[in-house]
Amino acid sequence: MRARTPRRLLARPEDVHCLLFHAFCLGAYGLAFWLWLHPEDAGLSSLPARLAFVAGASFLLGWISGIDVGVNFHNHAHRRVFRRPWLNRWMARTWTFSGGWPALFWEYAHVTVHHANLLGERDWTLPHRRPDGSFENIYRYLLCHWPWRYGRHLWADIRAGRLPWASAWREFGWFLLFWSVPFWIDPWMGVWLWALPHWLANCVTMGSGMYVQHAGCVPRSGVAPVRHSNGFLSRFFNRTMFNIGYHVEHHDHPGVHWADLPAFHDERRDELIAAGAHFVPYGYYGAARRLATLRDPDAALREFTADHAPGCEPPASQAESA
Amino acid sequence: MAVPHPTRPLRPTEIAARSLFPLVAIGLLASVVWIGPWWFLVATFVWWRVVTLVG
Repeated sequence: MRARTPRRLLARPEDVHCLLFHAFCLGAYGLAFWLWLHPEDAGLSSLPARLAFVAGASFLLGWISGIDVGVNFHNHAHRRVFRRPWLNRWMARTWTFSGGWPALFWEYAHVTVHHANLLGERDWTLPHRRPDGSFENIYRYLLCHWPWRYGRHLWADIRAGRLPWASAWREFGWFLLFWSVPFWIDPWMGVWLWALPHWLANCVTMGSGMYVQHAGCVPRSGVAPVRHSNGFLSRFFNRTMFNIGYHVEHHDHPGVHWADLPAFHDERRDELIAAGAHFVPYGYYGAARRLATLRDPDAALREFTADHAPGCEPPASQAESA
Repeated sequence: MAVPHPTRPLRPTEIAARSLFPLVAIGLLASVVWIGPWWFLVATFVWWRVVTLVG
Protein backbone atom coordinates (compact mmCIF):
# COMPACT_ATOMS: atom_id res chain seq x y z
CA MET A 1 0.00 0.00 0.00
CA ARG A 2 1.37 3.38 -0.96
CA ALA A 3 1.81 5.92 1.80
CA ARG A 4 -0.39 9.00 1.50
CA THR A 5 1.41 12.28 1.80
CA PRO A 6 -0.18 15.74 2.12
CA ARG A 7 1.37 16.68 -1.22
CA ARG A 8 -0.81 14.16 -3.04
CA LEU A 9 -3.90 15.98 -1.88
CA LEU A 10 -2.84 19.09 -3.75
CA ALA A 11 -3.15 19.64 -7.47
CA ARG A 12 0.24 21.36 -7.40
CA PRO A 13 2.78 21.41 -4.52
CA GLU A 14 3.02 25.22 -4.78
CA ASP A 15 -0.63 25.46 -3.76
CA VAL A 16 0.42 24.86 -0.18
CA HIS A 17 1.25 28.59 -0.27
CA CYS A 18 -2.42 29.36 -0.91
CA LEU A 19 -3.55 27.29 2.06
CA LEU A 20 -0.92 28.80 4.37
CA PHE A 21 -1.82 32.32 3.28
CA HIS A 22 -5.47 31.70 4.15
CA ALA A 23 -4.52 30.08 7.48
CA PHE A 24 -2.38 33.11 8.37
CA CYS A 25 -5.30 35.41 7.54
CA LEU A 26 -7.63 33.48 9.82
CA GLY A 27 -4.87 33.55 12.46
CA ALA A 28 -4.69 37.35 12.19
CA TYR A 29 -8.47 37.58 12.76
CA GLY A 30 -8.16 35.21 15.73
CA LEU A 31 -5.43 37.36 17.26
CA ALA A 32 -7.40 40.58 16.75
CA PHE A 33 -10.46 38.97 18.36
CA TRP A 34 -8.37 37.82 21.33
CA LEU A 35 -7.04 41.35 21.85
CA TRP A 36 -10.59 42.77 21.69
CA LEU A 37 -11.87 40.19 24.18
CA HIS A 38 -8.94 40.78 26.61
CA PRO A 39 -8.80 44.60 26.83
CA GLU A 40 -6.90 44.61 30.14
CA ASP A 41 -4.03 42.53 28.72
CA ALA A 42 -3.95 44.47 25.45
CA GLY A 43 -4.17 47.98 26.95
CA LEU A 44 -7.53 48.61 25.26
CA SER A 45 -9.55 49.59 28.32
CA SER A 46 -10.29 53.20 27.31
CA LEU A 47 -12.51 54.23 24.39
CA PRO A 48 -9.76 56.21 22.56
CA ALA A 49 -7.37 53.25 22.87
CA ARG A 50 -10.02 50.93 21.49
CA LEU A 51 -10.74 53.30 18.60
CA ALA A 52 -7.03 53.46 17.70
CA PHE A 53 -6.85 49.67 17.81
CA VAL A 54 -9.96 49.28 15.62
CA ALA A 55 -8.62 51.79 13.07
CA GLY A 56 -5.33 49.93 12.66
CA ALA A 57 -6.66 46.38 12.99
CA SER A 58 -9.65 46.78 10.65
CA PHE A 59 -7.37 48.28 8.01
CA LEU A 60 -4.79 45.48 8.30
CA LEU A 61 -7.45 42.76 8.33
CA GLY A 62 -9.28 44.29 5.38
CA TRP A 63 -6.05 44.55 3.45
CA ILE A 64 -5.10 40.88 3.88
CA SER A 65 -8.70 39.67 3.36
CA GLY A 66 -8.84 41.53 0.08
CA ILE A 67 -5.72 39.68 -1.07
CA ASP A 68 -6.95 36.40 0.38
CA VAL A 69 -10.14 36.50 -1.71
CA GLY A 70 -9.24 38.70 -4.68
CA VAL A 71 -5.88 37.05 -5.37
CA ASN A 72 -5.55 33.85 -3.36
CA PHE A 73 -9.06 32.38 -3.72
CA HIS A 74 -8.96 33.77 -7.25
CA ASN A 75 -6.19 31.21 -7.95
CA HIS A 76 -8.47 28.45 -6.68
CA ALA A 77 -11.40 29.74 -8.77
CA HIS A 78 -9.34 29.16 -11.92
CA ARG A 79 -7.34 26.10 -10.86
CA ARG A 80 -8.57 24.05 -7.90
CA VAL A 81 -5.93 23.57 -5.23
CA PHE A 82 -7.03 20.04 -4.25
CA ARG A 83 -7.48 16.98 -6.39
CA ARG A 84 -10.67 15.89 -4.66
CA PRO A 85 -13.92 17.76 -5.49
CA TRP A 86 -15.37 17.57 -1.97
CA LEU A 87 -12.20 19.08 -0.50
CA ASN A 88 -12.33 21.88 -3.06
CA ARG A 89 -16.00 22.55 -2.27
CA TRP A 90 -15.40 22.80 1.47
CA MET A 91 -12.17 24.73 1.07
CA ALA A 92 -14.05 27.32 -0.97
CA ARG A 93 -16.84 27.57 1.62
CA THR A 94 -14.35 28.14 4.42
CA TRP A 95 -12.22 30.51 2.35
CA THR A 96 -14.22 33.48 1.08
CA PHE A 97 -16.47 33.95 4.13
CA SER A 98 -13.53 35.80 5.75
CA GLY A 99 -13.70 38.31 2.89
CA GLY A 100 -17.47 38.87 3.01
CA TRP A 101 -18.37 36.59 0.08
CA PRO A 102 -20.08 33.26 -0.55
CA ALA A 103 -17.50 31.40 -2.68
CA LEU A 104 -19.95 30.57 -5.46
CA PHE A 105 -20.94 34.23 -5.87
CA TRP A 106 -17.37 35.46 -6.10
CA GLU A 107 -16.40 32.72 -8.53
CA TYR A 108 -19.47 33.39 -10.68
CA ALA A 109 -18.78 37.16 -10.76
CA HIS A 110 -15.14 36.63 -11.61
CA VAL A 111 -15.10 33.68 -14.01
CA THR A 112 -18.54 33.65 -15.63
CA VAL A 113 -19.09 37.41 -15.74
CA HIS A 114 -15.69 39.12 -15.76
CA HIS A 115 -13.47 36.68 -17.67
CA ALA A 116 -16.10 35.61 -20.18
CA ASN A 117 -17.21 39.18 -21.00
CA LEU A 118 -14.07 41.19 -20.34
CA LEU A 119 -14.81 44.92 -20.76
CA GLY A 120 -18.04 44.04 -22.59
CA GLU A 121 -21.63 45.05 -21.89
CA ARG A 122 -22.18 42.04 -19.60
CA ASP A 123 -19.06 42.60 -17.49
CA TRP A 124 -20.77 44.26 -14.52
CA THR A 125 -17.81 43.68 -12.22
CA LEU A 126 -15.85 46.57 -13.73
CA PRO A 127 -16.39 50.33 -13.26
CA HIS A 128 -19.16 51.99 -15.25
CA ARG A 129 -17.97 53.53 -18.51
CA ARG A 130 -18.38 57.14 -19.59
CA PRO A 131 -19.60 57.92 -23.13
CA ASP A 132 -15.95 58.17 -24.28
CA GLY A 133 -15.31 54.64 -22.96
CA SER A 134 -13.19 55.67 -19.97
CA PHE A 135 -13.87 54.38 -16.45
CA GLU A 136 -15.89 56.35 -13.91
CA ASN A 137 -13.93 58.03 -11.09
CA ILE A 138 -12.10 55.48 -8.93
CA TYR A 139 -13.68 56.72 -5.66
CA ARG A 140 -17.17 56.42 -7.10
CA TYR A 141 -16.40 52.84 -8.14
CA LEU A 142 -14.93 51.94 -4.73
CA LEU A 143 -17.91 53.31 -2.82
CA CYS A 144 -20.74 52.22 -5.12
CA HIS A 145 -19.72 48.80 -6.34
CA TRP A 146 -19.55 46.49 -3.32
CA PRO A 147 -22.03 45.34 -2.06
CA TRP A 148 -24.60 47.53 -3.81
CA ARG A 149 -24.01 46.97 -7.52
CA TYR A 150 -22.70 43.43 -6.98
CA GLY A 151 -25.81 42.56 -4.96
CA ARG A 152 -28.17 44.00 -7.57
CA HIS A 153 -26.50 42.20 -10.47
CA LEU A 154 -26.18 38.90 -8.63
CA TRP A 155 -29.85 39.04 -7.71
CA ALA A 156 -30.79 39.78 -11.34
CA ASP A 157 -28.65 36.87 -12.55
CA ILE A 158 -30.15 34.49 -9.99
CA ARG A 159 -33.67 35.53 -11.03
CA ALA A 160 -32.77 35.10 -14.71
CA GLY A 161 -31.45 31.59 -14.01
CA ARG A 162 -27.89 32.42 -15.04
CA LEU A 163 -26.74 31.58 -11.52
CA PRO A 164 -28.68 28.47 -10.42
CA TRP A 165 -31.22 29.32 -7.74
CA ALA A 166 -30.74 26.18 -5.60
CA SER A 167 -26.92 26.42 -5.55
CA ALA A 168 -27.08 30.14 -4.83
CA TRP A 169 -29.30 29.70 -1.76
CA ARG A 170 -27.38 26.69 -0.47
CA GLU A 171 -24.04 28.48 -0.69
CA PHE A 172 -25.50 31.71 0.72
CA GLY A 173 -26.75 29.66 3.69
CA TRP A 174 -23.29 28.20 4.37
CA PHE A 175 -21.83 31.69 4.07
CA LEU A 176 -24.28 33.14 6.59
CA LEU A 177 -23.56 30.33 9.03
CA PHE A 178 -19.78 30.89 8.98
CA TRP A 179 -19.93 34.67 8.61
CA SER A 180 -22.21 35.11 11.63
CA VAL A 181 -19.84 33.40 14.11
CA PRO A 182 -17.99 36.56 15.34
CA PHE A 183 -21.34 38.29 15.94
CA TRP A 184 -22.43 35.47 18.22
CA ILE A 185 -19.22 35.85 20.25
CA ASP A 186 -19.45 39.65 20.60
CA PRO A 187 -21.72 41.75 18.33
CA TRP A 188 -19.56 44.91 18.50
CA MET A 189 -16.45 42.88 17.78
CA GLY A 190 -18.33 41.50 14.77
CA VAL A 191 -19.03 45.02 13.53
CA TRP A 192 -15.56 46.55 14.03
CA LEU A 193 -13.21 43.61 13.49
CA TRP A 194 -15.21 41.55 10.97
CA ALA A 195 -17.80 43.51 8.95
CA LEU A 196 -15.69 46.70 8.72
CA PRO A 197 -12.57 44.81 7.51
CA HIS A 198 -14.74 43.08 4.90
CA TRP A 199 -15.99 46.43 3.66
CA LEU A 200 -12.36 47.62 3.42
CA ALA A 201 -11.31 44.35 1.74
CA ASN A 202 -13.88 44.78 -0.99
CA CYS A 203 -13.99 48.54 -1.44
CA VAL A 204 -10.33 49.41 -0.95
CA THR A 205 -8.20 46.34 -1.69
CA MET A 206 -10.22 44.42 -4.28
CA GLY A 207 -11.95 47.50 -5.75
CA SER A 208 -8.74 49.38 -6.43
CA GLY A 209 -7.17 46.19 -7.81
CA MET A 210 -10.03 45.68 -10.26
CA TYR A 211 -9.82 49.32 -11.30
CA VAL A 212 -6.08 49.46 -12.06
CA GLN A 213 -6.04 46.07 -13.83
CA HIS A 214 -8.20 47.46 -16.65
CA ALA A 215 -7.93 51.28 -16.42
CA GLY A 216 -7.36 52.81 -19.84
CA CYS A 217 -7.98 49.45 -21.55
CA VAL A 218 -10.21 48.49 -24.47
CA PRO A 219 -12.10 45.28 -25.30
CA ARG A 220 -10.13 42.59 -27.14
CA SER A 221 -10.20 43.12 -30.92
CA GLY A 222 -8.17 42.41 -34.02
CA VAL A 223 -6.64 45.87 -33.83
CA ALA A 224 -5.90 45.73 -30.09
CA PRO A 225 -5.64 42.05 -29.14
CA VAL A 226 -3.85 42.54 -25.78
CA ARG A 227 -4.93 46.02 -24.60
CA HIS A 228 -7.69 44.50 -22.47
CA SER A 229 -5.54 44.51 -19.32
CA ASN A 230 -2.51 46.20 -17.79
CA GLY A 231 0.56 44.23 -16.75
CA PHE A 232 2.47 45.01 -13.53
CA LEU A 233 6.10 43.90 -13.39
CA SER A 234 7.26 44.90 -9.89
CA ARG A 235 9.19 41.93 -8.46
CA PHE A 236 8.19 42.79 -4.90
CA PHE A 237 4.54 42.98 -5.90
CA ASN A 238 4.46 39.73 -7.86
CA ARG A 239 6.45 37.79 -5.26
CA THR A 240 4.08 38.80 -2.49
CA MET A 241 0.85 38.67 -4.54
CA PHE A 242 0.88 35.28 -6.27
CA ASN A 243 2.10 36.80 -9.59
CA ILE A 244 -1.24 38.53 -10.18
CA GLY A 245 0.63 41.38 -11.89
CA TYR A 246 1.00 39.25 -15.04
CA HIS A 247 -2.57 40.18 -15.81
CA VAL A 248 -2.43 40.36 -19.60
CA GLU A 249 -1.18 36.77 -19.70
CA HIS A 250 -3.71 35.74 -17.05
CA HIS A 251 -6.70 36.99 -19.04
CA ASP A 252 -5.48 35.43 -22.26
CA HIS A 253 -4.59 32.12 -20.56
CA PRO A 254 -6.55 31.87 -17.27
CA GLY A 255 -5.69 28.17 -16.98
CA VAL A 256 -1.98 28.88 -16.47
CA HIS A 257 -1.09 28.21 -12.85
CA TRP A 258 -0.06 31.26 -10.80
CA ALA A 259 3.37 29.73 -10.11
CA ASP A 260 4.06 29.42 -13.85
CA LEU A 261 3.14 32.99 -14.81
CA PRO A 262 6.65 34.57 -14.55
CA ALA A 263 8.14 31.97 -16.94
CA PHE A 264 5.05 32.21 -19.13
CA HIS A 265 5.51 36.00 -19.28
CA ASP A 266 9.22 35.71 -20.16
CA GLU A 267 8.39 33.40 -23.07
CA ARG A 268 5.78 35.75 -24.54
CA ARG A 269 7.04 39.16 -23.49
CA ASP A 270 8.41 40.31 -26.89
CA GLU A 271 5.38 39.02 -28.74
CA LEU A 272 3.03 40.80 -26.34
CA ILE A 273 4.92 44.09 -26.52
CA ALA A 274 4.85 43.91 -30.32
CA ALA A 275 1.07 43.41 -30.12
CA GLY A 276 0.70 46.54 -27.96
CA ALA A 277 0.58 45.16 -24.41
CA HIS A 278 0.95 47.72 -21.62
CA PHE A 279 3.40 46.82 -18.84
CA VAL A 280 4.28 49.18 -15.99
CA PRO A 281 7.27 48.76 -13.64
CA TYR A 282 5.26 48.92 -10.39
CA GLY A 283 2.40 46.91 -8.86
CA TYR A 284 -1.26 47.62 -8.03
CA TYR A 285 -0.26 49.67 -5.00
CA GLY A 286 1.82 52.05 -7.10
CA ALA A 287 -0.85 52.19 -9.81
CA ALA A 288 -3.64 52.93 -7.30
CA ARG A 289 -1.50 55.65 -5.70
CA ARG A 290 -1.14 57.28 -9.12
CA LEU A 291 -4.76 56.88 -10.25
CA ALA A 292 -6.51 57.72 -6.98
CA THR A 293 -5.51 61.36 -7.16
CA LEU A 294 -8.18 63.95 -6.45
CA ARG A 295 -6.42 66.51 -8.64
CA ASP A 296 -7.04 65.92 -12.36
CA PRO A 297 -7.65 62.14 -12.46
CA ASP A 298 -7.87 62.25 -16.29
CA ALA A 299 -4.28 63.52 -16.47
CA ALA A 300 -3.26 60.79 -13.99
CA LEU A 301 -4.80 58.17 -16.28
CA ARG A 302 -3.01 59.61 -19.30
CA GLU A 303 0.31 59.46 -17.41
CA PHE A 304 -0.40 55.90 -16.26
CA THR A 305 -1.23 54.81 -19.81
CA ALA A 306 1.96 56.43 -21.12
CA ASP A 307 4.06 54.75 -18.40
CA HIS A 308 6.03 51.68 -19.51
CA ALA A 309 8.39 49.32 -17.73
CA PRO A 310 11.99 49.51 -19.06
CA GLY A 311 12.21 47.46 -22.24
CA CYS A 312 8.43 47.33 -22.60
CA GLU A 313 7.94 50.55 -24.54
CA PRO A 314 5.60 50.34 -27.55
CA PRO A 315 7.34 49.30 -30.79
CA ALA A 316 6.97 52.80 -32.30
CA SER A 317 8.80 54.43 -29.33
CA GLN A 318 11.55 51.79 -29.46
CA ALA A 319 12.07 52.47 -33.17
CA GLU A 320 12.24 56.24 -32.52
CA SER A 321 14.79 55.92 -29.72
CA ALA A 322 16.88 53.53 -31.85
CA MET B 1 -4.98 25.07 -21.19
CA ALA B 2 -2.45 22.40 -20.32
CA VAL B 3 0.94 23.98 -19.85
CA PRO B 4 3.94 21.82 -18.93
CA HIS B 5 5.43 23.05 -15.69
CA PRO B 6 8.59 22.36 -13.74
CA THR B 7 7.99 21.15 -10.19
CA ARG B 8 10.36 23.16 -8.05
CA PRO B 9 11.22 22.34 -4.44
CA LEU B 10 9.34 24.56 -1.99
CA ARG B 11 11.56 26.94 -0.08
CA PRO B 12 10.49 28.27 3.35
CA THR B 13 11.77 31.75 2.44
CA GLU B 14 9.51 31.75 -0.61
CA ILE B 15 6.50 30.79 1.50
CA ALA B 16 7.35 33.52 4.01
CA ALA B 17 7.72 36.12 1.23
CA ARG B 18 4.42 35.10 -0.35
CA SER B 19 2.68 35.32 3.01
CA LEU B 20 4.36 38.62 3.84
CA PHE B 21 1.15 40.63 4.25
CA PRO B 22 -0.70 38.34 6.68
CA LEU B 23 2.54 37.68 8.60
CA VAL B 24 3.21 41.39 9.03
CA ALA B 25 -0.42 41.86 10.06
CA ILE B 26 0.00 39.16 12.73
CA GLY B 27 3.26 40.73 13.87
CA LEU B 28 1.73 44.20 14.14
CA LEU B 29 -1.36 42.91 15.95
CA ALA B 30 0.83 40.94 18.39
CA SER B 31 2.85 44.08 19.07
CA VAL B 32 -0.23 45.86 20.51
CA VAL B 33 0.42 44.17 23.88
CA TRP B 34 3.89 45.77 24.08
CA ILE B 35 3.66 49.05 22.18
CA GLY B 36 0.01 49.93 22.81
CA PRO B 37 -2.74 50.85 20.32
CA TRP B 38 -1.44 54.30 19.36
CA TRP B 39 2.03 53.18 18.27
CA PHE B 40 0.35 50.18 16.62
CA LEU B 41 -1.74 52.62 14.57
CA VAL B 42 1.38 54.60 13.62
CA ALA B 43 3.26 51.42 12.65
CA THR B 44 0.32 50.27 10.52
CA PHE B 45 0.23 53.60 8.70
CA VAL B 46 4.02 53.46 8.08
CA TRP B 47 3.74 49.87 6.75
CA TRP B 48 0.93 50.86 4.37
CA ARG B 49 2.88 53.89 3.17
CA VAL B 50 6.03 51.85 2.52
CA VAL B 51 4.07 49.28 0.49
CA THR B 52 2.31 51.90 -1.60
CA LEU B 53 5.74 53.37 -2.44
CA VAL B 54 7.55 50.12 -3.28
CA GLY B 55 4.68 47.97 -4.57
